[in-house]
Amino acid sequence: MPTERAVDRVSRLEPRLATTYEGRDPTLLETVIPLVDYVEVVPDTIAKSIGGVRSLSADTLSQLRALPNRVSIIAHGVGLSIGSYDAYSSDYLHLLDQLQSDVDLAWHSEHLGYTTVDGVNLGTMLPLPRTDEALELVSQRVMEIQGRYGLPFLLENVAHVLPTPGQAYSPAAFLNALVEGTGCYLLLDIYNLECDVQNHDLDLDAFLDELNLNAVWELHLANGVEHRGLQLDVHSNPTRQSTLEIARDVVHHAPALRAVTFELLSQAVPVLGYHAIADELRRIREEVL
Amino acid sequence: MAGMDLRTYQKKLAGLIRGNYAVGQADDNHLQSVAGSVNLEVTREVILEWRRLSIEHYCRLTSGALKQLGLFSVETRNFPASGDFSSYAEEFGNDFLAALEMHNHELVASVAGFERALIDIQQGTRDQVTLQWRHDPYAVLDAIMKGSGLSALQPVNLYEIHVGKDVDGLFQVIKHRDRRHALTVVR
Repeated sequence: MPTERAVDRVSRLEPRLATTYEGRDPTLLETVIPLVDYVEVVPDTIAKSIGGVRSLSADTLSQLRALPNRVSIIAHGVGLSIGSYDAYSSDYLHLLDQLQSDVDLAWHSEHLGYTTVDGVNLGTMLPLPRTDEALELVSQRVMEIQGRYGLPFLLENVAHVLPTPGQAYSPAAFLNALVEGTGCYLLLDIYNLECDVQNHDLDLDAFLDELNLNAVWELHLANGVEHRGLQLDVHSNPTRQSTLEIARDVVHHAPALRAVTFELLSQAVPVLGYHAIADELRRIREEVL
Repeated sequence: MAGMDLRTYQKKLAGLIRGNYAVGQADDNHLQSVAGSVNLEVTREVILEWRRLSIEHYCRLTSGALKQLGLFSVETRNFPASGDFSSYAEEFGNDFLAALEMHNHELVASVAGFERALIDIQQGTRDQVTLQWRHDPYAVLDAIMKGSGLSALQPVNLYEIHVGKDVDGLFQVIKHRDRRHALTVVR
């Protein structure tokens, strides 16, 4: 167990409620703001490329700057590709630079996986093999990122769809080793864990028993779809009761936890409707926090 | 992945996903199992579905036209042939429309060119574009909006479409009554 981690020195805080915002929908923002304490933005999804120039949407930045003071902003990346063998994305870092220079960020996070190989976009996110080589590669990059931004940096567990190779570490041991070696924190996606239970027989109780819960800073709650027997991570539905129950258990055992975040894809907003999204946020606050 | 480094593993897995790598006897049991798995098929399906969602969102007119003509599935599956596509909708969508401007189906090429011009004008990357169509542009747009009737439309005339930021409503259609006569502004 780490002994000098900052998280061990912080007193237990009451976790707060957060939700995602992908821009372009001021009505959604108006709906959720009275209900949440944090807004989580994905730099990649609020970015545009106009005439070959990639930058964050000025409209969305303006909306974020206008948030009331009681609501803090979190950055959550999908495009860093921290686990690509060749390089992580400097393009993503430029977007994060822009976001950090424009609004105050409470912390930022990224997935423990990769979206590019040889610089070519895969069109999906893949988890890393849990090997010493991967651990060393990601640890070095985490240290660079922590030095660059001076903010708490969290890594999120990715849902596995493809079969995983023989591994040097258990899922929890790999995360623990990353935390111990770098001082980063964890973003535990509860729904992704449920996907792994269904798709690859993850032993969830053993995972949670082994995981260093002192390092869990944020939870993600979401729901997706089942397709051909596989549970997919698409953030398209209100959370299942099972997800809330697991989250509630983790909340009680994660002293550094700052936020529980409901993730929803922008394409799902018109399908669910603003009223149902507001109800879902109230439900999570009532049942998990 | 015993004995396989991260570089080799990721390159082979990427090749399996893109369908340009075939496992051989030298590959380990893990890669063999991935290659024949439902999981790999689902991964490919998910990638394709995200690509289609992105295209539908960014290229609404062209997607509508492709669907009515029964071409949406094949055109989105085959693009890009290189497998290298940007994660930015603006870049990927522009590449998609630019490729379809060369399509051998005249209506597809016309609509893709028109939509690309509209987007470019709105984004400020082009000031003015002039296009020539043989189908009545309003009939085409009406059919796309209604979701039916596109395939029944026939070339009837020569039309010029001027797309520009200073044009009221972003575009203006001018119809050639006869090649020997002056152009007529339709709307």
